[in-house]
Amino acid sequence: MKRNLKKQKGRWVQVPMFLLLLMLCSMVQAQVTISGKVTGSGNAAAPNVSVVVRNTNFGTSTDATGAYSFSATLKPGKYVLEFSGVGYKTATKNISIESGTNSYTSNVELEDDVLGLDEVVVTGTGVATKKKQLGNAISTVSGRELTRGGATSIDMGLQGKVAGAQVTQNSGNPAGGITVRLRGPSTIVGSSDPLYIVDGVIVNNDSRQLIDLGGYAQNRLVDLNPADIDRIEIIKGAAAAAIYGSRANNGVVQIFTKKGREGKPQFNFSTQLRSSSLRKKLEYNKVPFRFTNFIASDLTTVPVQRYDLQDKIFQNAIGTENVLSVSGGNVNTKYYASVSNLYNEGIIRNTNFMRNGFRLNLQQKLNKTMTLNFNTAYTYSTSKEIPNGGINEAYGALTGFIFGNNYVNPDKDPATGIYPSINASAIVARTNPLEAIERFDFRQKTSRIVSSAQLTIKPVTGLNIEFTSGIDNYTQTATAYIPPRNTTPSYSGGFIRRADATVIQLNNDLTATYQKEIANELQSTTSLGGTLQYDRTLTFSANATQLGAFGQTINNGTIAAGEFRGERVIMGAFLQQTFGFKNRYFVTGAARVDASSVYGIDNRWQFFPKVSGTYIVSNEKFWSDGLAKAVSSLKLRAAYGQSGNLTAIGQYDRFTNFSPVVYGGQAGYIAPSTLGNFTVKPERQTEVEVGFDLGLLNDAISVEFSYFNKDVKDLILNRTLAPTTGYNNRFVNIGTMTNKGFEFLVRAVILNKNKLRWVSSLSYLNNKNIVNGVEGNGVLPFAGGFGQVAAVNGYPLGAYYSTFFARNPDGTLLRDLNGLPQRERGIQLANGNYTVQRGSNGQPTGTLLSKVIGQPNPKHVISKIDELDFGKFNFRMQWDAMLGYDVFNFTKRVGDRDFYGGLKGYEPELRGEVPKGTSAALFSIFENWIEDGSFVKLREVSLAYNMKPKFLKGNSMRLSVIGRNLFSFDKYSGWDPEVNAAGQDNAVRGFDFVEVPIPRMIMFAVNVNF
Amino acid sequence: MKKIFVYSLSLIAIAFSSCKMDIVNPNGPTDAQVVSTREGLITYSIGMKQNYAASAFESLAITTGGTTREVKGIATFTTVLEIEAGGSALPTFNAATLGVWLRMNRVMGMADDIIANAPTVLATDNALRSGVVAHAHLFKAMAIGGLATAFEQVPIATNKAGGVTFVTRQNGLLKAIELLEQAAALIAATAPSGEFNTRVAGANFNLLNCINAYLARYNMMAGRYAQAIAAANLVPLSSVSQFAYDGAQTVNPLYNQLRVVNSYSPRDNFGLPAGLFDPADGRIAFYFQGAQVSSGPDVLRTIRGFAQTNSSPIPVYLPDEMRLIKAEAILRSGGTVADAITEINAVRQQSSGDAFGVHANLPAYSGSTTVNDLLIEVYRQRCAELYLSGLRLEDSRRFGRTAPPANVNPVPVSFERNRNFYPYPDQERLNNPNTPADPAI
Repeated sequence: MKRNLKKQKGRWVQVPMFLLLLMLCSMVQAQVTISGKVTGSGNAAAPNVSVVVRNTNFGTSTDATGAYSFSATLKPGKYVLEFSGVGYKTATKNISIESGTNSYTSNVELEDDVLGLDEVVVTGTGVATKKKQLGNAISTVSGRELTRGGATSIDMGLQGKVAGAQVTQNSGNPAGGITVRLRGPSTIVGSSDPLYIVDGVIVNNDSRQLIDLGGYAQNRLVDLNPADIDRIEIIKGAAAAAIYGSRANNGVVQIFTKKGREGKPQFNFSTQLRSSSLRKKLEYNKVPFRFTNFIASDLTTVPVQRYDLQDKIFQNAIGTENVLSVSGGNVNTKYYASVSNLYNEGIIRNTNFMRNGFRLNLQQKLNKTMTLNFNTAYTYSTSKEIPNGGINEAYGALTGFIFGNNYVNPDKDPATGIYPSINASAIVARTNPLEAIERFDFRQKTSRIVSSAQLTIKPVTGLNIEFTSGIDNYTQTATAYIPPRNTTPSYSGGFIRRADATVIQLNNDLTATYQKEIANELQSTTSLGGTLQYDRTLTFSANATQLGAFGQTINNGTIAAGEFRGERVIMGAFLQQTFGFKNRYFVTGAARVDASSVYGIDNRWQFFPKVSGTYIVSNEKFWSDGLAKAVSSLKLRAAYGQSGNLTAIGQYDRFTNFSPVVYGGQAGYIAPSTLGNFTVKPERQTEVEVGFDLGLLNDAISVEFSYFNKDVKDLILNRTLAPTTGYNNRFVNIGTMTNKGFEFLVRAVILNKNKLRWVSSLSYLNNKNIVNGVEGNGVLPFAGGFGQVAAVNGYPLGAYYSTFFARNPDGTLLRDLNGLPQRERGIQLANGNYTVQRGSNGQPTGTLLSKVIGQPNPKHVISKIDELDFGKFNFRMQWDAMLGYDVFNFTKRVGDRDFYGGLKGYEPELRGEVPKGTSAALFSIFENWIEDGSFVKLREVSLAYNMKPKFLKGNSMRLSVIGRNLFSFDKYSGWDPEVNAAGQDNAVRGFDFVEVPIPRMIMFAVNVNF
Repeated sequence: MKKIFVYSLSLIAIAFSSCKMDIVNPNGPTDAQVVSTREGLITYSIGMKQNYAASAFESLAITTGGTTREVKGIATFTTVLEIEAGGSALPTFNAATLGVWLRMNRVMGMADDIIANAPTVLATDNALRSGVVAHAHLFKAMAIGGLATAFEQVPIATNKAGGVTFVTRQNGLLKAIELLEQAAALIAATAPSGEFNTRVAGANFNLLNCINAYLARYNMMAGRYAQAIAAANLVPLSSVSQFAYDGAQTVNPLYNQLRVVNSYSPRDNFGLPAGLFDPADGRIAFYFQGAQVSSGPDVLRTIRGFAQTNSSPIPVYLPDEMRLIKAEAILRSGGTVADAITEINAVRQQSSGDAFGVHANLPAYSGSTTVNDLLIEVYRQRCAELYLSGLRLEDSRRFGRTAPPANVNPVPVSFERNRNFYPYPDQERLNNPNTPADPAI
């Protein structure tokens, strides 16, 4: 197998070599200078517009005044000058080089490209390509769109701006915790996060729970400062991503940071003050008495005073952000540098996140043909955390809040300073949230450097060779301290944890692209590339318990430590060929081979093909003027591709790995619970995408529509084994998963008159995810969802699978003999099916039944963005909606129950409106706690005023007021239907268990250019 | 230009050839390394023992202890609520009953590996082999016995390929007895080497005494009274064999469950109804501490006994179990009642000298001396002496305590146990067509 591929590789090399030879013939040439000025609408200077002589290597960019000048060696003849820049429609000018004339001038006025129809992208293509020519949909987001709404991280900024993406903020903690899904998930055991590439560096976006914060975790994309971003390109599946091969199952997000611009130093300073607050409070139990006991027949009560702990837990938080950047340079050297500080307090008291960033992007022209880009960013981020949630641990503040009795005065004893357990019963202590906030000390620190060197060589016309070497290296350190003698249920002797992760990722990529008009109106683009990726993860963790009264390091208690070291190598190569004919027909074919050290030798090498075609119908001659007025452009496209997931399982998961243990002073090894599997192979996705792009009314309206069908086969399931095998589980390629749906993006210039411009866009995603191939009874529960979340054949990933109400034929509740609601019983069948059984007394009999009672994947993901420019004012508003999904409201399940009873839902039982014992009965009927999570949120709204005050000497300044998550229209009874207590977990979604809600934010920002 | 291209290609070629795709896991050995080497089998034996002590024993003691009311499930986790409720409402997917099944089978799987590989890997080291194999036999027997405590039918061998068949618990016990007899014969033929005694058995673990104690226990469970008495007689009462815990890597599971995790809490007076315990029993103060806390109809205490710290050792067996086995076997086999009373009184009146400090400090037995009443007295003594050691469920059945009703859920606390046997876990049934039918209760 390996030998075979080597042979293939050899053959691939021959193709571009042949193409190279083709272009070696040269002719008599003359040295000429071409210069001019480029303007935009209203005769304004158009800076940073690229000017090139088509089909040659000569060209430059305009400076701040819109002027350009470059010299070229051209043989006499007719040439085409091409002017392209972000925000402008590409324009061309003919130029005729005559012998004897050395100097030429060409001025041009560019039209605004309000809807970005002329964008140039590089992701998925290997070389800058007009979006128009691509056979697949690609989304682009500008740095401006990203930052205007006050987002603190890149992925947060992507919310609502990408058709086909579902971006969910899982926690309202100040560092977020965000999940991005492009056209649905594509794995169960791995991560469904897209591949993130920043300036050619594959960056790590792990969500490590080094300390247990209840399920919440930061995802490491939070280390990147959105203000440094120039633009983002997003491809969403295998059809586009095949050339990224092994890691592209979830799509690719390619991020480009800002580059320096020719000219004198241009400074930009922005400062922001933000205020965050709790958007909505839970209604709490205000009944001024409680039952004396939990015996159903005993209705005696005692008076109590009820407290609203939310007032003591949440705060109005303050945040600041300051960014200073400078860019400039000359023809040969350009630079962009920035320094930034973000300080963001959380709405839970005593939580915050701080990020300090430094960036330097350098571009140096080495000689006529070679350019070096060197980009480096260093980030140091720190956070102060309060644990909440409680997927595994019960020491959190909000965890204590929901499990506590709200008739216990939470304040500490004024005499002793000791906090009371929030549980009235002495059997189990419940963490007093105020103690957690005041006495616990949980922190995280991350020191990270992301750096890349990109060497671009243009040795001859049409040939572009790019070598990228990237490194992403960080150390994340987390510490936890719970002092001894506290109110936690499990750690009364105190708890200390220190955990470190040191991650390094390296990637080396070499791509050569050759473009040539090989016959009249037949354009050929050939790309050949190779990649070598290496990553290493070192984690260390130590816990200490039985603490002394002082000290926060692990040496203050009995230590248990652990360590993991993992290494992984991935290599791959691709060849891609595009033919464009008459600027109408485009066909692309690509092949990629990949290998990952994660898999055994027999399954290591994988082959991924891709093919796509585009037909720009509106470029046909028959597209008459009359038709073109109504439908200014029409493009049909279709794409097919495969990609893999070479990182779904861990580095060594194919082995049966024994665990070391020291027992009685002797080293020993325990057989693991996971049985190894040498035959496990990478998951493989096949995607078909068809769609069209439409421009209407002279491109005043643009429509992008795509239908997609993503099919994952060889889906790896961590299937359970019969325990009599001696093992518990094993990774096996038995599942399948599909994502079928469509997405569209409609953008329209509604008004464009004088000083008023109104641009509106609407994006929509409809996706249906289905899992199949689960063996046994077709149900595979996941950890992290309290056993209530499972893969069920025929249902979407993350379906809630649990107990439900026994009902009468008419749908009313079938109550038990005590008049309480009860769970359904009968015979459990496979795939979530069942047969209900009734005993002779009409009551349910048989085993307790489970079925799919809800699912967390929205049917409709919709965003609407309106942007109004009126003179110096800019108004922007973004509404995000996710409709047709369920939330598992564990918060209410606990808070409504008699033992805890801190929420309003317990009041009817106290008041005698329902039989005593109802809340306890409902507690185990999980169907009762599924709620519709559909919401429409005012995600972003901003009003900015642009001015050019005299003291800035022609430079500009912007003042803005920004609101974020100000309102939500939903029927959800909890704090926020958007969060997920299981954090960035791939399978457990929509799980509300006292996760911190997303705050309402108001910001004031000043941005100055000088 | 051509040069650059050639350079670049060679750069890729160099990069590719220099990187290894077969990366060795530095975090621990694979199965192949462990079962094929001498060091591997020694360390595997240690790991197996640790796993029983930390994991399998925890499930046996706590889960069956919940079923027999020794501890009360106080957490509102579904798993705990279901164990506390018992009855026919106990679902086949309960995580705690799965825990008993899974953990015992895992220990059995490790023992099977060692038994299968020791004859070849340790072919030339007789003294190490006899110890390692006998030790694996003991743990395999303990795994079968643990399963037979809670399930009607049990596997007597694991199989990585699946499709294991089951035998009745009686036959399972006979298999466990056979394994233990073979183990005793092995070490009688070739005394285990010093290396085995130091590294695998370790301090405070006498392999032969453990084998004989479990022989006595399983013979008693299997109704083989003469053999039970014979084996019990071989166990010196002063000898101490215990599972060690370091409080960090291996935490005392009783302490961890009852003092840290706090999903269960001990019921006062060994969870027994009035009449089955004596308030003057010194063992109440041995096993319990702290205030009596009311919880509905129950009174809860804080655990003491063998769970005082997270590093307290737990006995592999308690010596007085041998006395009570003898008493019971005498009574059940129609032996001399006075001999049985002598053994009972040796336990009742013990006020010092117990190897583990478990002293009843009660007066001599003065009640009815009918066999039935004396058997109840043996039960009483077993409940107190052997509190929370994973034996109560078997005892409750063997001594004919009232079975729980099959149609009342949850089973009222007045019943001393809320299940006879557990249903077979879904995880077994869904993956193994040979899984037997579930018991009604």
